Amino acid sequence: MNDERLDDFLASVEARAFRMARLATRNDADALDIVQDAMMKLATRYGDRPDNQWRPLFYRIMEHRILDWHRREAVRNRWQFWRRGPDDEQADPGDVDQASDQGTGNPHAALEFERAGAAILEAIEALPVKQQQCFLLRHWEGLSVQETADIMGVNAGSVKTHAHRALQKLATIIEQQGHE
Amino acid sequence: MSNHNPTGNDTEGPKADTLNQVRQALDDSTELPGPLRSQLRQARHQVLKARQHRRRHHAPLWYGVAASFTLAALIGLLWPGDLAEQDASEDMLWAMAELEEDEWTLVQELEFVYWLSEQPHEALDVEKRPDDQPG
Repeated sequence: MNDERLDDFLASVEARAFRMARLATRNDADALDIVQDAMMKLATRYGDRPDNQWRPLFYRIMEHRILDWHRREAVRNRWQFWRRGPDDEQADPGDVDQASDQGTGNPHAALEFERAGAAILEAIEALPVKQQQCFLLRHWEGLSVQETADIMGVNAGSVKTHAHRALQKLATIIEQQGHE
Repeated sequence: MSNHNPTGNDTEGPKADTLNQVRQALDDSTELPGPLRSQLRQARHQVLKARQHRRRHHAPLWYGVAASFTLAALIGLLWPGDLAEQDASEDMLWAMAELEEDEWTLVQELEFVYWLSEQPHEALDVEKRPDDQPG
């Protein structure tokens, strides 16, 4: 009974969760891992909680996984920087708040982006991860400021600032596109 | 389309168009290619299987813990009375064993007096010798 409801819930969020993770990681495999981890943790640890708690719990787990992924990437990039030397430095996404490198060049992903407002998605991808995730939770998932703050582990003011900055950047990009 | 409409003042004004365009692009992007959808579905099924497996294997453990607690509670409820009685009789034995010779004599005399007081008066009269009667 509960399993069916949980299955329905996971089915309803999996595509959006994948998109959020994909925008944060720019990598299908990592995004899939993050979504599966979040599903697993929700199902095994919190599956017996009331249904109305699943959504915020699921996104909280997702956000932790995404931030963990960025931290790991930052460490890996620093390590590669020291191995390569400063002369070979490309982009150092070091800080979690810094935007990292651009798309993966996957032809499959390129087609998909073209179909679904490539420029907008690329602009969201390029946002610093906290701005990006605050924006997605607040304006795409439709969570309240407080819910977003709880999930992201920041205060409500910070959520408003991040979401506002993200929206400003996206508005600028969309406006530029309109003039082209 | 988005399932949830965000509320709040920060979505109002000239930015609303931007938001709508962004949401539309994001919603469109959730129409994932077949292989990805299939991988997600597979992941979901694995998660639910893991949950069922975990629940099945945890149930006997919980039953065992519950049974142990029940048994402990039963033992606690049934034993105290018997143990108290046993303790009382053991205490009495130890007290008797530790008596000195004169104390033991005193206890025996007390027991005799106690026994005597319980005897009927008639029985005591019969036991009186005729020589003892005053002439």
